[in-house]
Amino acid sequence: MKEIERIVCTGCALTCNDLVVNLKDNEVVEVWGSCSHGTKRIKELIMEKLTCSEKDLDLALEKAKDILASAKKPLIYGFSSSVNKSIKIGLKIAEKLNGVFDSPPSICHLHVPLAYEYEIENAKLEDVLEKSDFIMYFFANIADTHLRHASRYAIYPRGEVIKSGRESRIVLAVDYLENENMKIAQHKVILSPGKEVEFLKRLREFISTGQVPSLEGLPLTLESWLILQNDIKNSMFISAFAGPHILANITAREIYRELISLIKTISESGRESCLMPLAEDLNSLGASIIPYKQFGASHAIEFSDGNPIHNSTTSASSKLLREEVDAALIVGSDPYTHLPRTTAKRFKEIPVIYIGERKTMISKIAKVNIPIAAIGIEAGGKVFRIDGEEVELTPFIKPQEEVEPEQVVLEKILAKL
Amino acid sequence: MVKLNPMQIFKLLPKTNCKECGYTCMAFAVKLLQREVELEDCKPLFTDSKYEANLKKLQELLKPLYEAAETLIKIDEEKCVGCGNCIIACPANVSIDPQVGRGINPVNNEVVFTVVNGKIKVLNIEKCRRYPPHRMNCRICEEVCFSEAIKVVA
Repeated sequence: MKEIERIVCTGCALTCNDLVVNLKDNEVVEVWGSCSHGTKRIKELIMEKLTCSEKDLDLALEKAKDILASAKKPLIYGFSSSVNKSIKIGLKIAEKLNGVFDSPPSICHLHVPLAYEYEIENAKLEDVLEKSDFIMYFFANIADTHLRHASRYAIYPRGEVIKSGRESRIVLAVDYLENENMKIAQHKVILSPGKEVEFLKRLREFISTGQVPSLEGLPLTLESWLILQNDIKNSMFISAFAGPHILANITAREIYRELISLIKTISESGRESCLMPLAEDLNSLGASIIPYKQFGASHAIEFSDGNPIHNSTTSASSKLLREEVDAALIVGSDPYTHLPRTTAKRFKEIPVIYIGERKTMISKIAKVNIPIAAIGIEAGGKVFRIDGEEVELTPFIKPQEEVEPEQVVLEKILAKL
Repeated sequence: MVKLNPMQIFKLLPKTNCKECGYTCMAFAVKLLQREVELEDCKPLFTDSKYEANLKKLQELLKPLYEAAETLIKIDEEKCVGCGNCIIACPANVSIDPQVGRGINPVNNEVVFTVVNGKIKVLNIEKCRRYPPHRMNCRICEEVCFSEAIKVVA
């Protein structure tokens, strides 16, 4: 039995780096420290491996090239679980082919790109661990998505400044329904849809003026508000984590704008603060940051004569619905789990190339399936953690022969085009 | 879930203070809850038919107690999601391995419990604060559990 320490988990975008894996004959026997999401990824992935649709990789790459080269407007979609290098190559492919580049955050994880587009100066998760005494969860349930968030970084660890850990940290959880996350929060606020901006505004009003705001229309008694107000008043470092319960509706931008204003007001009041999107997929943050830095838009980019365009009609969903894409290269994500059924069914009408680790709904209808080495398990690379920190993955198993890392497969396709 | 308490048990005992078991009925209820005596030690409960209905109720009431470990904690592995809240919040774990206090999952075999394959794994139950004979009334692991996988039964 071989024991490998300090493995980076690829179960979600927290990328916990304290896993210990016990291997026997290149197979995982035990994983110490990973939550059920991380364990599932490491142990079950091996069983559902994707197989190459062609005789060998070269043939599959050739076929993929033919499909992409003959398309007028290919859709390059996915990348929320890809390494940063793959995202960059994916953008190059889209640019070269005058295609459309989009990723899952554009529809169901809008909190990720939006939080980044506002460009606030952010702290690191380690700062939260060491110093944060007030933790706010907005529209998120970490008990469902980021299982180790509280135990690894935010609530339970004893920091250098917050020496007693849980005893010195106040937690506020705001959501539309009561969730498991609220079990560990001193303050729980259950809002009706449409009341989000109002609540955030009142919170901001109190922080900037120090006065009790009007609570009319909010589900809070004066007594509970005063306790919350007092806890905020006594805090030195306020951390906010925004989750995926706000879907890409018309108010999402407004809610995020208000959240950013709240964080800025907290900073102006002399306290430290930070806001992080609770990105679920391993690198949905990378899939937003990289396009944003290169082309000024975090998602849904259409290239026309090499120029990037981003508007409400350039998303994968819109393009599929309007039948404006005639081929698709799907990388590491299953669009059937992210896109509405009405648009996803369009994939059956166009040639699809799927590059991924495991069998999914999309691999069943893809014309070309190209397996890749499991990211962070069989192949390395860098991804962005939820605080924007670039993390180097630590592969610990040898991949099967003829199975290349994702970035290598994409590089080969780009070279052929 | 309502925790078991001695009064619930006492009400169903014969309440005659016959001391056949060596204790008064109230003391027997307390000892029963601490798993220091067995229900069978109360002879009248089993020999006198007038206590039959109470005996059945007691057996039902005490079921979770016997399903729990010596610490009177019951862990439902099916429900556990491996969040590690209990591991990091546990004062005994932190005193054994200070790294745990920093949010790092313990990988040594000395701690009370850890997370292996996404589930709680108890390694040294005798190091738990609730282990007999001293049994501190610590319930931190239950309080911080997201998924209600940890239950302190009494």
